[in-house]
Amino acid sequence: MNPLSLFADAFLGMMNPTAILLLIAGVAVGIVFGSIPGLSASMAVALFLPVTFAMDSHEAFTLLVSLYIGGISGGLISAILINIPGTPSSVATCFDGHPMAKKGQASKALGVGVVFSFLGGLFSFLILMFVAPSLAKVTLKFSAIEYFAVCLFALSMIAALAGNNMVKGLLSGCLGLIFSLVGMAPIDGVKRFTFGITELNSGFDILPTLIGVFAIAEVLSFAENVTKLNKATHIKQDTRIKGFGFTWKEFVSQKWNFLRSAAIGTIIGILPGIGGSTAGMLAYITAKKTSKYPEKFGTGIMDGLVASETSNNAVVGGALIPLLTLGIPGDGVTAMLLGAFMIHGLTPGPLLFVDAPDVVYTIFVACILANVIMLVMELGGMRVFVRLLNIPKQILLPIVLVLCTVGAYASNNRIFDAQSIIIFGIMSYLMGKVKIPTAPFILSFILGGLLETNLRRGLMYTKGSFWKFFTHPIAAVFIVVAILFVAWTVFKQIRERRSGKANQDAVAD
Amino acid sequence: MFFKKYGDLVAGIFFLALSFFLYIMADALPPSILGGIGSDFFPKIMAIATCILSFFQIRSGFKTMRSRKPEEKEAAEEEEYKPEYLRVLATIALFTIYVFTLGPVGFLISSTLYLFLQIIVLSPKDKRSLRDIIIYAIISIVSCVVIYFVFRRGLNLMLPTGILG
Repeated sequence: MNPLSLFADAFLGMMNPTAILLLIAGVAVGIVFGSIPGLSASMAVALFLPVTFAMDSHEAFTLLVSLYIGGISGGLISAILINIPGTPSSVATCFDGHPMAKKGQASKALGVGVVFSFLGGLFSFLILMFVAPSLAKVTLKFSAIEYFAVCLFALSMIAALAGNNMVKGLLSGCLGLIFSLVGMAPIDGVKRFTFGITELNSGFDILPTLIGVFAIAEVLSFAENVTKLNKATHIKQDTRIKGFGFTWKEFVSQKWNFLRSAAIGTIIGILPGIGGSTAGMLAYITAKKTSKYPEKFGTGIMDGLVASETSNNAVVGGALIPLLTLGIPGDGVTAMLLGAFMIHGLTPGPLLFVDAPDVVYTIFVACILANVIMLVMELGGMRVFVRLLNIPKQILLPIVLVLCTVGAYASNNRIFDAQSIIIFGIMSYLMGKVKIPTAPFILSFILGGLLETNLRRGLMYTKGSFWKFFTHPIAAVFIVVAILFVAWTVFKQIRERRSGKANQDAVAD
Repeated sequence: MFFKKYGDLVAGIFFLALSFFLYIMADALPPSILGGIGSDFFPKIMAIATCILSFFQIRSGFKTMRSRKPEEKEAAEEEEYKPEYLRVLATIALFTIYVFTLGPVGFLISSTLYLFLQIIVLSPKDKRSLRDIIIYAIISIVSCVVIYFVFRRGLNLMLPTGILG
């Protein structure tokens, strides 16, 4: 079937009350999770995964994609109004968004943020729709050797870029790989590191791991700062948005800034392990550097807000590309979506485009529709979302935790999965204490199995010679780039240390 | 203070120990029956990589330990907002008890109790009046009953019934 008719079918399939309701509910809940600091898009998706068990795969992905889009864009509300990013993605939104609000332009700031979130998302979804199907045709021909190389490349990027300290990033990645070893080994099924616990034969499940790392660790760090956070201010702001809050002339003046930021966001989304917060920062810094009036950045001008909000929403479409075409997640939310595919008996990757093109196109359509709903909802219902920011977190977080536990239990009906949450929760809390980033842990935990399986399959194919991997051009390129990339990062860190700019940790404190 | 001063070093030592443990465990795995690399190959590579990295981590750990002098400004800040580790430990303890009683006692009772106690643990001191506590209790009961029925009836998912079943 040609893409256009697939798209039309998916669109028509979405025109029923259930799907529309799921879209609206998903986006609304996503925005709430995004806007409340401490609850993230990943948590929203984790929370609703068990709810999707009873749905068919189309409905499930409609809901999950809407949560993702709402969750990423919701962060701008608290970033602008209370100067606390609701999600890590909107860190750069605070820089100019909050000063605008302080100048009494809160409604303009919200309007700009919402509209450019929408446009940034739209840009990346169009790229996703055009690139993913043709890319899938290429990745369909990938053998184990190419898969191994791509995984290796993804891991090297994740570890080197996730934090500001490469050793810690790599250690976190190693820890993830070590946890992925637990259970039956690929190919020959040798039991490894199960310590005689039967439940460990199949290894640690993705969902409890993610819940532990995201939810428990969040609750623990909240517990640590209860008294401090209790003093957070309540919001009294004029949040009525009149029209879009800005003029057509102002809009046109942002066109290059918009295109550049959208491109940055989409590319960062495609690259694994970097994610929305980096995209927002990078777009912000680039906008500042290329601006005619860089000194005005940080004082509350549109440009900074446009850069940050365009790029962090453009990440969504980009991040879905490697997930759908290769089955490789690039961040916490796509990792969660990978879990959702498995629960619904689907394997993301090139075969998905052959076996279940309807699901793929449903995801495309859901992205676009959820984006539109996000725009309408945030422009119209801003005051409702703002009021939700005042819900006491000591009540909200425990309820989320109970729901997460139910989710972890229900995915396999095993109490063991609920229990394993605690291990990952404590571990990730301690990692946070010593400033080891958790993103590399999660992603290498997921990629570890793929990496080893494909390495061993590849070696069987080449009869044990690793050097023959280099006779596959695509694989060779990815392996070489991975090695060069790590080497370049090491070189850069050494040079920075020599020039005295080192001690980035101290700066980050 | 402890984490800031010794955190890097302790993490480094932990990873070093982990790498040794991993290597020894991997070495005990049976050799591959299919030829080529066995199931011990990948863990061993990981152990070696972790070991090398942990040396760098330990080195930087010594550096942070030496450079971190108790600065007055920092000390004053810490005085005002001490990390409340008691709440953290209580949360860990409560959650551990919760996941282990979930099976035998059942979802409804264990979740309601856990939710109630957890909310109290996370409440700041000025939000623990009798009125607040009654509200917390009502919230706990209502949300757990709603969750139970939504999952059980609405989504047809089995939740542990425990002593009520």
